[in-house]
Amino acid sequence: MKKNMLCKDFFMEIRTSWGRFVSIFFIVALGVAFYSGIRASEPSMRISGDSYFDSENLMDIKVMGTMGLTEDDVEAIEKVDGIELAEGSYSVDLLCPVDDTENVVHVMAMEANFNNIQVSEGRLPEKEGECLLDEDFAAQTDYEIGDTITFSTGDDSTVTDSLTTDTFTITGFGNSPLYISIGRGNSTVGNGEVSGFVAVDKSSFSMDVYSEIYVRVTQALDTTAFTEEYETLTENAVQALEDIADEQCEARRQEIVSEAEEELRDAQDTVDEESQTLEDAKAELEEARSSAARELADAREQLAQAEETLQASRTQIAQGEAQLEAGKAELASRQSALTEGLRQYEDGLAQVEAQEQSLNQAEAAYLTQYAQQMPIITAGKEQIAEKREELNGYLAPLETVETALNGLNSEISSLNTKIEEGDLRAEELQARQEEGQELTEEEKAFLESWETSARPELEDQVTALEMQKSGILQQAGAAAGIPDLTEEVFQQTIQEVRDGLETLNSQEQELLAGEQELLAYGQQIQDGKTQIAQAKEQLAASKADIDAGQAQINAAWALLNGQAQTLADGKAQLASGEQELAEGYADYENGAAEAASQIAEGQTQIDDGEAQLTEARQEIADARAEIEKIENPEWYVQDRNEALTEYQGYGDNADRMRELGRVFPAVFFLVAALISLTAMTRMVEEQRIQIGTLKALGYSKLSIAGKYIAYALTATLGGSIFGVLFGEKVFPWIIIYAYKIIYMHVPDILVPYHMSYAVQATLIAVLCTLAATILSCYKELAAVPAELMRPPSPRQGKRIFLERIGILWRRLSFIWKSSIRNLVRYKKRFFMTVFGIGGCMALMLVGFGLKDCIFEIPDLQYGEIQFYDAAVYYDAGIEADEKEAIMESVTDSRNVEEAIQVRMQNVDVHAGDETLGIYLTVPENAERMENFVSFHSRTDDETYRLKDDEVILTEKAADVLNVGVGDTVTLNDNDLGERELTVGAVCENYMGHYLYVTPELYEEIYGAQPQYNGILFRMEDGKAAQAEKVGSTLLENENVLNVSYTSSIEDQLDDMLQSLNLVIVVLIISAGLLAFVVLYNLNTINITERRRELATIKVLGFFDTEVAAYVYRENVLLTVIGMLAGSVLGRLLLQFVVVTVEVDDIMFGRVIHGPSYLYSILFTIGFSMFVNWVMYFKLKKIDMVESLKSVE
Amino acid sequence: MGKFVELKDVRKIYHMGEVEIAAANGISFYIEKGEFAVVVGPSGAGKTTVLNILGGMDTATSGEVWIDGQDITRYKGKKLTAYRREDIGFVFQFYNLIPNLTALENVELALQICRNPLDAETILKEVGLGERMGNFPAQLSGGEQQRVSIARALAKNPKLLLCDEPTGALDYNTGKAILKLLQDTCRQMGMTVILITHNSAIAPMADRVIRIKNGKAESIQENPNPVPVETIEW
Repeated sequence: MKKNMLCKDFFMEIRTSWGRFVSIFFIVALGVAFYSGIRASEPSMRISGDSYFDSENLMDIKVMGTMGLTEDDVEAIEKVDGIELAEGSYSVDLLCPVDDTENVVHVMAMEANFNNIQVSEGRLPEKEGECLLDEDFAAQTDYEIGDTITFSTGDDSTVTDSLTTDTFTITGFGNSPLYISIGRGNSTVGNGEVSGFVAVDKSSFSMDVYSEIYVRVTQALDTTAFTEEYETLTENAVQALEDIADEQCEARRQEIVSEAEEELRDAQDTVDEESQTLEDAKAELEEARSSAARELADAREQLAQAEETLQASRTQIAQGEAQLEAGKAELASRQSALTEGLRQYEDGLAQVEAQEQSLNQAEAAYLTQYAQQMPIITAGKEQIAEKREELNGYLAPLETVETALNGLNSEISSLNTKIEEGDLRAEELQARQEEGQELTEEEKAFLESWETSARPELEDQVTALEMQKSGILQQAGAAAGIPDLTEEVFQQTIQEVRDGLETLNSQEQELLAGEQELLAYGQQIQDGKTQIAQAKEQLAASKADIDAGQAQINAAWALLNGQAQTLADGKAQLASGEQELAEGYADYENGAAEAASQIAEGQTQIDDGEAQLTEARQEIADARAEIEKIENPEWYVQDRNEALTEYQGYGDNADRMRELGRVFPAVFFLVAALISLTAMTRMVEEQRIQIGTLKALGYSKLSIAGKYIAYALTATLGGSIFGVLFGEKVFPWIIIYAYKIIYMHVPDILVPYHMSYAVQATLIAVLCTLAATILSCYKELAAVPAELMRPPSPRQGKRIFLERIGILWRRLSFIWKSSIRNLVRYKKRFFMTVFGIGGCMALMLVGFGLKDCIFEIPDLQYGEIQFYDAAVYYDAGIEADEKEAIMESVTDSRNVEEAIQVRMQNVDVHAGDETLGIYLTVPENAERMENFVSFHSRTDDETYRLKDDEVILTEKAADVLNVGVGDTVTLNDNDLGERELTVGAVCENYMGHYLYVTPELYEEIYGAQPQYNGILFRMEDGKAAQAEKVGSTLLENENVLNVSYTSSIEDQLDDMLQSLNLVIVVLIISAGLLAFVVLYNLNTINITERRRELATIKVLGFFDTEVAAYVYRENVLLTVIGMLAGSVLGRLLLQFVVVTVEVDDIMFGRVIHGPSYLYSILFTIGFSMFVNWVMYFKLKKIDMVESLKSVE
Repeated sequence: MGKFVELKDVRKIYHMGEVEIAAANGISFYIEKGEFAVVVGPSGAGKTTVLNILGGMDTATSGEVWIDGQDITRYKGKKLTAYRREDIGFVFQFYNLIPNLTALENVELALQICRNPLDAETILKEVGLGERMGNFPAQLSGGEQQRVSIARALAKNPKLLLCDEPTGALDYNTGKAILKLLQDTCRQMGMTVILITHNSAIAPMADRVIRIKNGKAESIQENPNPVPVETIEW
């Protein structure tokens, strides 16, 4: 290059063949960028992680002790060589309520020098009772800053065993360098899966020993995490700590034993105290029981009284109502009587008035009569009085005679009587004498006198009297002028006088009667007047009476209405009284029930208390026994890999990137090297005449070759530098950015340049192109100048294999024949293109295929393998009947098709040197399990059944353990030691590791029936969406710890896997670039080489499109072949990538789906078409005059 | 016979920056149908320009080019391509065969774009390559390759056969044989042939000789008694 002209020629060369220079530049840049970029991702990932860990003071080593750690331990650790700092800390796993369930959280104390928390919102807790919540966990819950959380332990211990309070106020959300990803590790609490961490101030812990000690290793800060250097440093420190562990543990044991004994004494005291309390409580309960009975009886009594009162008032009201009705009726009848009276009064008044009138008429008539008759009556009276005077004068002498006569007659009759009587007596006496009876003296005297004396005397007297009588009559006759008057006549005369008198009297009587009558009439009228007056008076009185009666009735109505109102009030009162009574009854019932339940509760409490006490006594006894058994505590000294979830995963991911970096860039590099080789060979060949001339002129071989070497070097170095600058920044950034979706808490992406990779890549690139250049130059320079100046002997057309198959060959048109022969002829181009397009296709296939493999995991895992819809986990330590109850409620739930009890238990399984944590899964019924989980092979259609002497192991686990069918795996159990099991089948499985065992085999292994700890259930077809409904109902049962739904796991996975899209985009873009560069280069070379040929066919009259088609036909063939090759390459590459990228817990799918092939093919065709489209313009520009030129 | 091919004051001016170079500076001549015409002139005289314009590979800046009653100077793009396709047979100095097609296939390549082609094998037999039809160009000698080239041009059954120094890359005897073939073709098939050469020794065999010099047709000479090729020496 010292020669000026050659130097100028060199620069001119670059300028004139700019396209070639640029294409070498870029293909090298692409290769180098990809290589160094992907390779640099690995250290960049580590550096990004390390910087985060260092800045947040992530611990290097965590020491935990089975019985806690003391201040002495901290001091002892700090004294160990190679330890820079140690600090004791507290942590506890608790349950945190989230919606209906409880999630496990890791509550940890914040340390000044370790594991700084990054606050993303709010602030750090500053005092007791405040906490900072895991940002990721908070995002899944409704907790907000300022809310309070009440933790629980999930078992019989209490939160305040370890914390000063169980209720914390959230002061902020944040992250911890202990958790760089989603995983939060496992726990022995709750469902065993920690959902998040809670950072609290150290003062919130009340533990008397540290639960862990964080340790910083000297110089660890200066080394990068995940590197050998760091690992060695920490390993040594771990070893040193383990060396002091025994001594410290012994000391700790002594401490614990003495403490425990102290506690035991306290506990005994407490138990004694408690039993006293229980006795008291019993007495109290008894008292409460009797007093309650008393109170209830009283209440009952009161209620009965109240009811009676109510009954009485009810009767009263009824009576009142009847009375009211009667009163109303009476009033009505009275009213009608009154009305009648009024009418009568009015009638009477009319009568009286009529009578008065007739009376007045009668009076007038009487007065007239009186005036007429009265004088007549008075005259009559005077006449009568005169006559009587006269008559009386006659009568007086007569009557004197008569009297004398009568006297004489009466004496005669009495004397006659005496004669008769004497006769009678005499007769009787005589009769007696005759009979012989003796008579008394007197009688004898009488009898003798009587006849002789007495009788004649008496007869003489009667004759004398007779004589007198006749004398009187004579006298009276003489006086009256009647000579011979006899007694008879006399009698007659007197009688006549007397009759006259009598007649007079009757006349006078008549007159008097008339007078009397008149007077009576007058009197009558007088009386009628008086009567009318009286009647009037009476009527007036009755009117007054009527008026008074009406007033009375009105008053009575008013009274009645008042009474009705009172009655209504009374009724209302009655109703309310009844209501009150009903309430009273209800109260009474409630009171009674409450009292009963309180008493029952009290009884239960006492029973519980007694049971507890018994238990406590038992415990004390047990504890005493246990203290005897206390062994030396153990220390667990863990480095970051062991202590932190996901930490190792991050390192593993970096390692995986390294593996990827070894494969992917190689493809690019190979292509880049081939491209620059072709380009340089072509360049040297094109310039053979120039080389020949220079050679003829006498330039040294080195000077001539120098130009090409320099050309290649410039392009390659330039491309390399550009590639490194670009690639080492962009690719690691994109990759780490993609990983940040998983490791979201690694804050900064650090992408420093890594000189080693830069130099490596540049060296490889430069060496490749230089070798290619020197090789082609050497070939040309070896020839003599004369030969160089002749055109190269044209390559011979050759019959190809295909032509031998005449049937096929004959059917092809010449253009196809030509194209096919061309392909075979330009072998270099053929392979280059196939490689380029195949690489492009392969890369895209890997991209899409990776997506397929990962995205189908949830579908396969939860659609075809574990096709149950949800798993229910029992609370620890529940009874068989409670399990049965849960099982029943599951099977009885709507839309639940089937359910099965299982035992799932994490066990360590090992085979050879490999150990793996696997879920030992024991269904209650091996055959029914097939309705929930399908045991089948991934590669063929074989399905497996659980057998009693074999286990079924999942594929990835078998892979990791490196075992197959018929091999044995060993189950590690702390109590039972090692148990060997024969693998009967390896089944397809993608997520997690499972070892399926029949209950019979389980019993054989563990010597006990499996304690089922969960239920798997499956919904009816199409009702899978209802699973959550069933689950939430189940969660109301306090014996159900947790329900997990396969659908939600699926969703979570899907979210996570979205991050892969970015990787796929990177791959597709890279593939596109690769395809473009390769195709463009090769096409350019192709066209340049065949310029004359193309010009010729143009001259022959081919249209532009036909010319293009002539060229494209080859490209199409090459693209198709390339795609076929790419499909094969892609599958191989994907296998490699999948195996490299796979995480231990997950097996990716292995199948690339049809659409992925389709997309890859379409993209490849697209890129190819784009390049061909660009080429079309180049073709158009070919000058036909070229055809006239001689062959160069 | 009318003027089958006629150039009227054809100019072709190239612009090289600000300099104008006239490759053809008013060339006019005509050729009748069935004639064997030879265009001779020294290098740079403009004969290639004439060929390019006649062959439809280039267009004239001005002037008219009449071929069988059509003015092809007005053709552009597709029409020009179609003209090349249907009307012109082209024989190149360096044969320009497609290297990975056999002799027969090379001929057929031209035929398949033609509307009214002749049979490829017949033509090849006529040009004396009946035995070597299946050979690739690299397996053929220069003369044989040129025969394939001629066969390819003739098979299209063109109106005009344009030959650009067909003997330029051939040895004397082979050259003569090729010229003979061309002359025979012209005579037997009545094909109008225009042969461009710098070798004026060939002129006597032509019906019409057009001498080009400095971008102009210096002389147009009709030769009523063309001599057979065999008699020509150079």
